[in-house]
Amino acid sequence: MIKKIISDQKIKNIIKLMIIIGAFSFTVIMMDRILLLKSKDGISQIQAYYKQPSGTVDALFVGSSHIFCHVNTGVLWDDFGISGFDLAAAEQPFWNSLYYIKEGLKYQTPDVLVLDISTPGIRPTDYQPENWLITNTYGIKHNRNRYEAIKISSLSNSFKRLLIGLNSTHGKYTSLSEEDFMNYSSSVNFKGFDARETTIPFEKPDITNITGRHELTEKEEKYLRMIIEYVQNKNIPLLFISSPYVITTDEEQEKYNTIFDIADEYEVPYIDFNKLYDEMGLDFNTDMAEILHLNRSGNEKFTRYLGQYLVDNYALTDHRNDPRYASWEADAKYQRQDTLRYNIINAAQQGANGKFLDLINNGSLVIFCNIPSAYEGLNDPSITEYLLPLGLDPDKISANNSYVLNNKKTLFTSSSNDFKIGFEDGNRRLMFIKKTDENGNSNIQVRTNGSSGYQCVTDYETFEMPADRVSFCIYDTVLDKIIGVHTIQ
Amino acid sequence: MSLISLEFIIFFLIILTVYYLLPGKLQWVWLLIASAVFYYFNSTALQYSVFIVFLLLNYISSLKLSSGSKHKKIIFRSILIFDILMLMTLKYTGFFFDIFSRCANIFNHSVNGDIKNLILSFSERLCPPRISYFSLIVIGYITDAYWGNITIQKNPGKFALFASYFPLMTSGPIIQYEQMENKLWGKKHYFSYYEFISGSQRILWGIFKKLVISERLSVMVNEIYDHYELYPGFYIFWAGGFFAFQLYTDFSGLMDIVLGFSQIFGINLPENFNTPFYSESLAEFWRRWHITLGGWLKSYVFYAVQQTETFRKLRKFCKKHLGKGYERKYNIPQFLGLMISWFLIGLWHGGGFNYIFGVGIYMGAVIIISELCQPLFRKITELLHINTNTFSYTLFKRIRTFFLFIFGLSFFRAESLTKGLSMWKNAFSIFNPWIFFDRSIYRLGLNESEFHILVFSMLILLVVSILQHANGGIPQVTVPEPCPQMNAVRILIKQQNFLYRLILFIALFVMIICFGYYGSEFNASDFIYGRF
Repeated sequence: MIKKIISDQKIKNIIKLMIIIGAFSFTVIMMDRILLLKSKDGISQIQAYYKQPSGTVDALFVGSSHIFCHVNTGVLWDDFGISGFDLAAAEQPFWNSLYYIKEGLKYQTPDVLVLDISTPGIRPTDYQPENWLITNTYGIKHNRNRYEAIKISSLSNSFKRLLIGLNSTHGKYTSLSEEDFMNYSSSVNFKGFDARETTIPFEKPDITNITGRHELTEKEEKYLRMIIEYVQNKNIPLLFISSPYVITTDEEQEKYNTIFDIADEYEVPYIDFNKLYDEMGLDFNTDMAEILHLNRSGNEKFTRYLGQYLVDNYALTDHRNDPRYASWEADAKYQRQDTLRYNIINAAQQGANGKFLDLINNGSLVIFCNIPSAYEGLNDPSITEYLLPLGLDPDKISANNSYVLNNKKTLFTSSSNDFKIGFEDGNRRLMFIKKTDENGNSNIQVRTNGSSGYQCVTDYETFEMPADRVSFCIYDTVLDKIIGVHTIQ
Repeated sequence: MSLISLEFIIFFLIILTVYYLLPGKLQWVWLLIASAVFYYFNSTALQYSVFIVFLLLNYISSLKLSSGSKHKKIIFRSILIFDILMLMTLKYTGFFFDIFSRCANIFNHSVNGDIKNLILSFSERLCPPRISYFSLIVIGYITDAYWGNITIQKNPGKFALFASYFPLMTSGPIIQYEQMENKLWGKKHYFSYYEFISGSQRILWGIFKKLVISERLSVMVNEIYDHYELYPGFYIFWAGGFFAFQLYTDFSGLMDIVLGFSQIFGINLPENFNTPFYSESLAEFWRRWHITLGGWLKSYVFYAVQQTETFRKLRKFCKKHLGKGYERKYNIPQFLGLMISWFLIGLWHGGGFNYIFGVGIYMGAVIIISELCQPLFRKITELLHINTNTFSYTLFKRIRTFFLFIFGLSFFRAESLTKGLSMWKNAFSIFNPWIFFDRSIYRLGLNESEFHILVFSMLILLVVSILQHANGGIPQVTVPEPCPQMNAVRILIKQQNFLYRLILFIALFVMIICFGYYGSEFNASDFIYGRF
């Protein structure tokens, strides 16, 4: 019977046609995924959100970059056991927040939904530039919410073009990388937080006297009210926050005041963090990354204050010992390690050798240490005292040696000018290739390859190691990242 | 509604699904409705009305021509004059105003700018899109009807479908009634897997040519043409060559799309291109490039002109003064007929002296001169003992033809005759062969990787054309039903295993998605020949 069916030409053609349609559809889906911008400005956030186990997100944070740069999900977990998620996108207007919320509440039922209200003050426009529109909509699954989000965000003459993602993303073929195929950045461990790392000092703004009101645009107000009504209909507690930043015009704060009036109308609580700088302990000399965002030090202060408020006012459970929440622990671990990386880089840049060596004395780091033959400072106790904790005995080390160190152990030693050494840890590989020229200057090639299922690890970098300095090349086993090379004279 | 748009794909799928569900008697009616809807979306209400009036008048005239009326000649001439006048006044208003202004200037008069703008905007509002295509189709039909070459179509719906079949309402091909009579109606078209797959493959190939090659070439062409003062010497030759391939991939790509869509309906349209760059003379080139336009002019202009009283008298005059057998040396009536045809080809391409010269009288003149110089060339080759039956000589002739073509074509791309002449003056102002070596090519708007994609895509095109040409090109190889029309390359592909074919076209599809110029930065919906 089956043989007879297969031998029928019509049936054969139908099967072939189905295979062709299937193959082309599969190609389109794959291309759409691969060419999609893997941006932590909003796309990766919602893509990672879809991967969160159902019913695990207790605190959902929605809004602009003020959410994903300021609400440190690692700190929320470490300090309060809150399973928070930053479902936010850069410059997100209320109409995009509405669709992020709609998507968000499809899959999770948080105990509190925190909405950042900064965009109308910072970017008062009814139509964003296309790059922001893309980061605010293209991460959403192909469904009605995505369609409506693009429609409301785009000018009428560009809607049809923007509706098909490949129209905007197909040019990405020139810069495809491992990340585009593996999409590590939207893994389940990613909770949306993406810290800013620069530090720019500012004068502390004073907005206490700005009490006026500035009208929202019709579109802003309409979608703000829609958000409130939608969330309240779902019986989910809503909290508005105005995130701390350097407010430069009265109009910005006046808009927030108008939003707070609307919040009062609906009995939605709100916190104006721009009136709580001292309570948070925010120092505008050290805590700002730039005019709009807090840096790592600032976001930790802000998050601790916000976390405490949430714990005090909402029925949030501490999940720190619950195995279902392992991905929050992984996120927190990543944030802790990223803070270590940030501090190591800062210490290196500031020339704080003692602090630098102290910081790299950490079991999670693999260190390639190169002491060139021409180096004469091995007798200096300010250097040698730090080498011992790393696993290098000052009595045994000598010039013209290279060491690979991890967890106070010397994994490898060589006095050769040129060598290649590799290490394997599960499915990860790390390789150091040293080459020295006739002047004693070395360069070290560091290759990493493999996957911890957390983020992209394939890397290839070459660093210069001068003949008159001790050089340290640091690889972070948690971040799967080459942190860089620092030299000490 | 562009052929490369989401709206068109949705529109097409709806039309296609219903088409194959309908009985044979209603399929043509459905196509007529689809054509009416398609045209409606591509025109304004006013333009649509003009189009309907045009069709109605021609339909009524064609009925009169078949009724054995005593006034047949008058009716034919009247409707012909009406059609030509409509085409001229609506399409070429700007051009005629330009000529009028220049003449007025000679006599120290000037044309009022407000009146000119008013008339121009009025004619623009009235002018139905694709008038250059459907007016030729209808004029051909009326002429055939008058000559008694065809049986008049008495059903107004079928006549309207012939004149407005929607895949043709983009850029042709310019069909003749005889070719289409039995295809558009008369038999039930059943859904055919082969026609569907073959048509879809052809559409993909057309989109590849347009979005990956043509649009990429246009970047470099635009850069040089828009700033030709900065690009002297060999740059102008580059621009000419690039534009030739840009136009070829644009227009032939569009034809592939049109023919592919039509093939899915089970309606095979005549081919418009046949590997033109393999031509050994300009005359041959034009038999392989925009074939249906050349065929139309040959049928309805060249032959018609030869039959006129004036030409009969001219032939007599030549015979008397040049002696018997003058045709072999100086066939003046034929040359004159050719020049008229070429003038019209130039004019058809656009209202401008650059079109009339570049793709009109220049091409005609070169063809006539080549014809006249044929004996001289033969003598030279004999004298120099050149073996003309070699690949190298064939290659020489092809390159020569290519250069003769791009010279004329460059005027088509230039906005005016003066600009075209200035460009060529610029081409010979400097000898700069270093631009072939100093990476100048990467400074024309395409970076290295973009240029490499272009070269790779052109290589694919070259391989396809070699296979096509080596196997006879257009002369269609007949394969058993249900796939009657396939050229050599497509037969070669069809002979491969299913999986190989699938991978081949998926690869083409991926190339289009990645390398295609569309979306945010580009407007790929405009085909160069779509303007006419």
